[in-house]
Amino acid sequence: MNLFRRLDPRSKIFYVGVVSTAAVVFDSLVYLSILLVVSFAVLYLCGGSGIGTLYRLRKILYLLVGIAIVQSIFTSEGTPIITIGSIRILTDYGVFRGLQFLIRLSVIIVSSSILLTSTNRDLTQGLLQLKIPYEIVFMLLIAGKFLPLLRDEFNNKVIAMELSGVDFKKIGFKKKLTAYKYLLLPVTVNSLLKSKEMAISMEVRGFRAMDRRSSYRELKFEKIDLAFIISSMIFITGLFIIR
Amino acid sequence: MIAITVRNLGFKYEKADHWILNDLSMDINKGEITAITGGNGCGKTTLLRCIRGLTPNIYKGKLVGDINILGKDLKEMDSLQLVKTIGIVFQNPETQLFSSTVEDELIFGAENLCIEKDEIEKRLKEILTLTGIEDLRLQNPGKLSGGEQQLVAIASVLMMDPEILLLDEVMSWVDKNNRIKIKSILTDLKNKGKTIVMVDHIDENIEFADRIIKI
Repeated sequence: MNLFRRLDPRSKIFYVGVVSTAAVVFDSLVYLSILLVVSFAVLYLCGGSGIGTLYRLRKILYLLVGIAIVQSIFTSEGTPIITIGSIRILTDYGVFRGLQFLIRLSVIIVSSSILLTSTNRDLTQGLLQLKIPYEIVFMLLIAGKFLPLLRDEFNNKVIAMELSGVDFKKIGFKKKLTAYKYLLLPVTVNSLLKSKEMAISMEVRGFRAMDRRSSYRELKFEKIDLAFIISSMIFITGLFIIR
Repeated sequence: MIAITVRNLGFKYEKADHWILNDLSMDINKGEITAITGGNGCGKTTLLRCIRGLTPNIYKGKLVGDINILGKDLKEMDSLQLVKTIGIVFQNPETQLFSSTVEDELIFGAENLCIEKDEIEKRLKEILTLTGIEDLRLQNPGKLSGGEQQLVAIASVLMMDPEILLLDEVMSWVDKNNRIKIKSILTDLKNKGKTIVMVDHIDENIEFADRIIKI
């Protein structure tokens, strides 16, 4: 298990790339389920938590399940399961398409979560060593920083409103929407101003002052990385051949 | 010897109807701690922005007058020269820190300047010791207290070894103990020959400076 935790982020990026591609190409529920189970196993071995990932994504999961149900209902091909008069409400093919969508997206989400088992710094270094321009890599890093900034800003404003007497738990949905509408503009403006300050801080510390930059930390490919990449390739190629 | 010369400096922010700095002149000596003080809105922060060359390129507005940095005209200095010569620490440490560990935060500037790994390692040890944040090396800067964050912000600028250090009210987020610590760090830096320009409106924070200029 410790060996997997030492995996180079570049090996993880490779795994996410091949598995996500396979998830888009495969149609069979069996193969998609195999990809999902294996991705959960790799995530666990890398030190991540599959249940934790699902818990963090619970609000999106409701949306995904909702979309899958809508897709099932609006697919008219196949043998009808539920009909009202001559209208097909649900068909076996619709259920299949809904499940396919749900598992496919789950594979992409779970496999991508493997990247989160590396630190930001290692991931950044991995991308830099993959020759991705450092402007783009840091742009991604700052984008990742911007979301919590936006969330904190929003939470602070909600607390400020609650302190001035607005009880978000008691007011109705329509009033809640109106309150959020008032919050949206100041939150966005404040977050943008903070991002600008952050960008200035980066610039005064020499970001893009030179064409290249040195690296204090160098990632090294180890045998476990090679073994992991070869195993991933054999696994995916095997699934393609059996298919 | 004079490190910074400001002559007839004026600055008006874009869309503002008044000049925040008007016909300002001063000389800042090399190897000294110079404190600039004044009431709210008198242009202390703007003056630091002008000296660092952030106006009018980043903070838009109309700039008049001349600034000389170690004998060079500021207008003729490129961004690399500016980064190597002048380090600036802003008032709010929150928006100056973006890395996942203190160590990453500190090496960011040094890596941008293409400094070799061994030299970065050497500087890292020195600066961590100087600022007394060795214990925080692997911690997330976002989860530190305001005072600790400010120490990290100062340390991250010192990693680039600038000759001139500009500090914009760096003690405003800091408790008494950390204020004493920052004063001691700045005195150490002065003894090593660095020129320090600090802006603050609280007398207690600037009383240790060699010179105090009121604007």
